[in-house]
Amino acid sequence: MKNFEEEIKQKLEKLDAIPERNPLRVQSAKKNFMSEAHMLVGGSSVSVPKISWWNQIFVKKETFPMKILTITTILALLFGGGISAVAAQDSLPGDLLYPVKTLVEDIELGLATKPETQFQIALKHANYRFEEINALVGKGEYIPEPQIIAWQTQLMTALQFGVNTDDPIGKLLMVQNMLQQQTMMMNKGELTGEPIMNMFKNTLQNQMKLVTAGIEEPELLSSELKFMANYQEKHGTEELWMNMYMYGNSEESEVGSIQNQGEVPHPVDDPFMWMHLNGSLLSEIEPGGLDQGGINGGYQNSFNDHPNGGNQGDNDNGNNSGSGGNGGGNGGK
Amino acid sequence: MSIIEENEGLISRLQAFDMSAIEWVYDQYNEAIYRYGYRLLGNQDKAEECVAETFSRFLNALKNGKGPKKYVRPYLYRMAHNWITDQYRRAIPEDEGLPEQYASQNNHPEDLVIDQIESRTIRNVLRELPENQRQAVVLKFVEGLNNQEISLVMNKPVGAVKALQHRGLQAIRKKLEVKR
Repeated sequence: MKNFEEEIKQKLEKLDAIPERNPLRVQSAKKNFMSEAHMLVGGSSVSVPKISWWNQIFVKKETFPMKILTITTILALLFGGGISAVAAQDSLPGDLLYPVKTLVEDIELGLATKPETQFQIALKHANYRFEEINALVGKGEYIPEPQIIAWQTQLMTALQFGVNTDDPIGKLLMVQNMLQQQTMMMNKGELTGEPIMNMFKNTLQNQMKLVTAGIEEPELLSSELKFMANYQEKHGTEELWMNMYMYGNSEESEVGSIQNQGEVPHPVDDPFMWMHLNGSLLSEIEPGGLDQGGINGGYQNSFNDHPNGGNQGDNDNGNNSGSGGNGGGNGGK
Repeated sequence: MSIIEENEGLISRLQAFDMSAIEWVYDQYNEAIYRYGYRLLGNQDKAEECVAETFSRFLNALKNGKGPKKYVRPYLYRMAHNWITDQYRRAIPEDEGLPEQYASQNNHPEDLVIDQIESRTIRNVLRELPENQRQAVVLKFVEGLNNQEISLVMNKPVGAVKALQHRGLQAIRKKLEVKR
């Protein structure tokens, strides 16, 4: 690894050979620059950056009623709905109060308006879903499949909010860190043989790959998430994740056989392959295909944004969403 | 010059459009921006244009109350990078003809030509990389910025910068192998 890095660095050093600048041109360039500076300063007074009083009011206008609404809702749940909201916080799937817990969470997320806050809340809820699974595992109880689906959905929601913040990579790093800790916790468990646990671990692994790839190509992750959201809207949450299991879970699954049909051998564990494969195979999943449904313009956009569904790191068009389709045939070579 | 060596009062002087501070910035960084432009575009005219455009945008940003908030050098590199990226979108890769002027320090004619061809090859490989990988690799391994500065230029965490550099180096290796 180090050898190839050194070799590439040596090649990059070739770029150090730079012809000497023409001194007259340098002088002229500086003269032009200074004259532009004088012209700008002479034209009118210079505006100094400042925090607008209007913006300050606007921020307060946005957050103050939000806080009131949040406090009112919490009080209503505490005193109107009784102590149940608080008691529900420790409930697990299957408990009587569990629906109250998820309702409170929905309200909490619904009240948030900024992507930053929405991300934090959604990530917290995703972690709750994981903790619930972990608690069930700890008790030696069966993990219902809908619980795993709920966890995945919550994580997808968090990622969707995360990629829309000002610092998508920072947010994805947070998610990655959380998933790493969760993977470590899961690996300590002893229920390794149960199919549902294997499914959960595989899912956790797939989510980790997706997030890791998203850190390097956030735009691509954003496309994938849009595609998933559109698919979910049309087919429902369960169908979305069932489909993902079918195509993304196992190296011996249909994924391997499908990809080997092409000329370019893509790696089986391509995190964005689900979107790519579904783009090719939607007609097989559902006659008529998604793109004919009319509700799903985002699907086509999402798919076109994807350079080739294979190894994006090698793709020349990896960052060029506008012409992603151009690299589709040979980018992975 | 490292970012921490910049004069602490520089930013406020620039925001006040202090001419001596503006001139100092130009004198301090125009050569670095020229070299950055030349390394990526391989053309003296384009490199000079890169300097002129970068500093003109810098002036206009200051005039509009924008400009750097903390550090000047990463800000200038970011502006130069944006301009170079625009050039990449418009122009075709360098052709196979001999360059207008030999840039190598090596005086042997055969070596000069080999150096030129290798430089052009690596430039063409760089322009084929995804934009963020190219930026992370060039700033680190060609311009010699440290990762903290690069994270400021790219507005990404240091960890993400390192990941991009790693991916970029791997992509360069693969592309060079294909071109062999």
